[in-house]
Amino acid sequence: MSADSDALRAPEGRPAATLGGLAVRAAGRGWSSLRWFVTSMMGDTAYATYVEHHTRTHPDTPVPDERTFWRERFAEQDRTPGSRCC
Amino acid sequence: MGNDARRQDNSSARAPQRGSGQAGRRGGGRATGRDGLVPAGGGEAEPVLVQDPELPPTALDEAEHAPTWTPPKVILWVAIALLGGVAWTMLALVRGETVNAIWFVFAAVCTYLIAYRFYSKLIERKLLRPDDRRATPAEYKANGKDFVPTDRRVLYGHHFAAIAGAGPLVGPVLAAQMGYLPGTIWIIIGVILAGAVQDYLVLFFSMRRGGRSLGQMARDELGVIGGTAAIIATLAIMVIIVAILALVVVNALGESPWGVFSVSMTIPIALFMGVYLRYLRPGRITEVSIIGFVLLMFAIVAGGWVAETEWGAAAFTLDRTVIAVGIIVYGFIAAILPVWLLLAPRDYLSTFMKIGTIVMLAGAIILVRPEITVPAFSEFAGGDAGPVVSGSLFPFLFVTIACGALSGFHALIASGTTPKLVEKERQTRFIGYGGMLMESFVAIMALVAALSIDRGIYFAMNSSAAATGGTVEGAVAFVNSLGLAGVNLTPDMLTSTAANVGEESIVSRTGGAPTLALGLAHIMQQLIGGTALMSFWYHFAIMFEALFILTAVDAGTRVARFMLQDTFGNINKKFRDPDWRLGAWICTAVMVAAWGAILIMGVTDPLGGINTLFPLFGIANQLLAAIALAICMAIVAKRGNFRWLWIVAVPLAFASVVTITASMYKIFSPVPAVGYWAQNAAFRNALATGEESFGNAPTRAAMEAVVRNTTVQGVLSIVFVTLAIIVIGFAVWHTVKSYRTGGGPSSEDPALPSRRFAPSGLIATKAEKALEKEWAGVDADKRPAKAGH
Repeated sequence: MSADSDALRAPEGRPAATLGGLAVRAAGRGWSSLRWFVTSMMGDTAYATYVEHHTRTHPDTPVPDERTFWRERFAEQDRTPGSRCC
Repeated sequence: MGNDARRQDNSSARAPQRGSGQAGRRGGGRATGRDGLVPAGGGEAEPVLVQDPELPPTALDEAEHAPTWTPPKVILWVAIALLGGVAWTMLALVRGETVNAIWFVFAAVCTYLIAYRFYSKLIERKLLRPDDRRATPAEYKANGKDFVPTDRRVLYGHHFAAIAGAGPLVGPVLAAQMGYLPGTIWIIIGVILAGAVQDYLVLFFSMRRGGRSLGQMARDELGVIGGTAAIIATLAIMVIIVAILALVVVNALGESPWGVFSVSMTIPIALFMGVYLRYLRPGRITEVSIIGFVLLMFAIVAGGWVAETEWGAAAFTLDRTVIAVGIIVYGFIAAILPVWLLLAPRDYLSTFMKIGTIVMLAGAIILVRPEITVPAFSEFAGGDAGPVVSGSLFPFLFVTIACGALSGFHALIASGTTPKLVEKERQTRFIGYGGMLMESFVAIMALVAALSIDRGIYFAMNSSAAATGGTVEGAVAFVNSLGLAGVNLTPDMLTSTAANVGEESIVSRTGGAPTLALGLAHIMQQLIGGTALMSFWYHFAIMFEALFILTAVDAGTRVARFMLQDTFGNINKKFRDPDWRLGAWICTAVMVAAWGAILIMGVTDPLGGINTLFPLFGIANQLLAAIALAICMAIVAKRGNFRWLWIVAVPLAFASVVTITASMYKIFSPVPAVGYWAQNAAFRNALATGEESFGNAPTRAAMEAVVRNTTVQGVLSIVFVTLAIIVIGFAVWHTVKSYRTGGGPSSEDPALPSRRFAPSGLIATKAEKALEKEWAGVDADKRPAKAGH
């Protein structure tokens, strides 16, 4: 959301050529922050996060593929259920 | 700049500064004598954290968090305070014919902003004292799965979606019978002093304990007996909450072929989504949620077509008892199916709908600005004879509106998933306190929606069938006999409203959900579509609530099953094995039978069900809140921080007084409408003297049902209040003990130095942005902790 205020500013040192160009860039930025927010919140990025973590902490072991990752994740949720609110 | 110099100092001379500077800053606390007296091995020990000198600072200096009051800032806060003041004056003091809904929005938002900026900051500075130099569990236990440092804005959305459900939508609707002011005051004041405080504290303390659950914290802080009582209370409360939420769905779907069709369609839609995610495109959650959403909209529209056909009406017009049995069977199957197939996809759909609908409703209320004709205090605010929920304003208003002002259930979320995802300690204020403010705002919107419909219609919908006879004529006669100022209900009003929303009848649609749906439809149709779209909006809202509740039923059954497995595990170790299917099924069956029995009891209750059971739901939820606050109080006391103990003690005292008083009324009140045992005695007497009908029960069988139901309700009341008193008693005893010794042993995880930085609030401050820039220049491989899992 703070990205929105950034979006109205032209990149440093390079003034936006036209008002239209600025608007297009702002809309593009707004769209990508919205996309980032929604996909992170819903969990689309979970696998990418895991891969990042795995390659960092266990660089020598192979990373499980996405399908396996999700299977294990749901299996874990089966074993230890989390609460939802009323 | 000065900032840089200070930060330099902050990173290099970290440890010694902590020793002297910190103590100096907390000088104020020592004035009480006890506050600073930390015994060896007790109270709040100051950790010595040595930071990696190669990294930029992981925290801002205390001084950089102190506010700098510039003139524009002062003007802004004065303006917020003035606007809030005007809004409260319009609501509470000006007595016109009507009041505009926009004042509710202004009063709420301005009060939230002020409370967040000042009160939650006070809690942060004086009570919790987060330390961003400490690594959070998400960092030191990072496993890339459930322990992941998560962006604060994403986590806010995540946490909000987990805490918000049907609760804040239903309670305010029922409490609207007392007029608009009592509910509004409790929702807004209750959240800032109690609800948000509870969420914030539980989140923070659980985070300091590696994301431990509320039950585990209870055992750590209160010992075996107090901890066990807390766990049993949680289990019992879970059962009653699931049962009453299910009752709300049953009441919303009874005799509504459109609703039954659309809500049933969520099952195949969720199954399709589950299969899509597992076999076709794993991980594409947003994509499948959008597909699911489109299908769901189609299911709502199609429900209207189906309900109009003869076969559709015949197949989907179901009796409430049949629907209740259906939900019980569904609940059992859903809870033993694998998560990926039904629960997870429906949860995605529910999150998607939740955020979308709430944003839509907020926008609509601001654009439409409905005029509210309900009085500030209604005829039922003073007595205990309200037809919607019986009981006097104190304490029953405070238990009827549970979620939205203070919800104990949140403590289970704030001590479960969320603390494992927090990136920096200071962010808990935004996520915990701020997240609950948003839920409170949802409750305010639900209240506005319920208030915006005609009062006569409101009472016709929410009075039990026992009072209205379930007919239009009966409802008109009953509502007009209540003697409500300005209410003149006509049969035509009820039939035309029912026709507009595409229902056979709207008489005695108790439970809150249909009223909220009508309110939402009423507001939305003024914005889009007019009366032609009203039936769509009505069923959209019903669907939206049913979706939450079915998810809560499923997840609640699973959690309860899990807790039961753990308890049975004490007797037979085999139950603890999560892969032993039969054990899981037995425990699931036990839990489903428990809530199912209460559900059936509510559906068949001759006295109406919701009006007798809903107080039990509120009491249960508030008792859980009292338990959570009691645990927090014991922790605060062990930290040796007695000067600011009142921040927890005041809401705890209030919640305890409210719930214990409400329970006492329910157990001991001589008024049959209020006291379960008084009702029980009245019906037993009538049976003994051979009466053929009594009160609202037309037959002897119905009279026997009342005796049975009130016995169960009365016993549950006694069980809840006893358990809560045990837990609160232990917490008070531990607090006093800590006070005598100046603190107690801490059960926090050892402090580890953090290796990352992130801003604490929604919008990064200037100093935070500057530090973020410094971090952006650090090599990625230097940032993470060297010790992985």
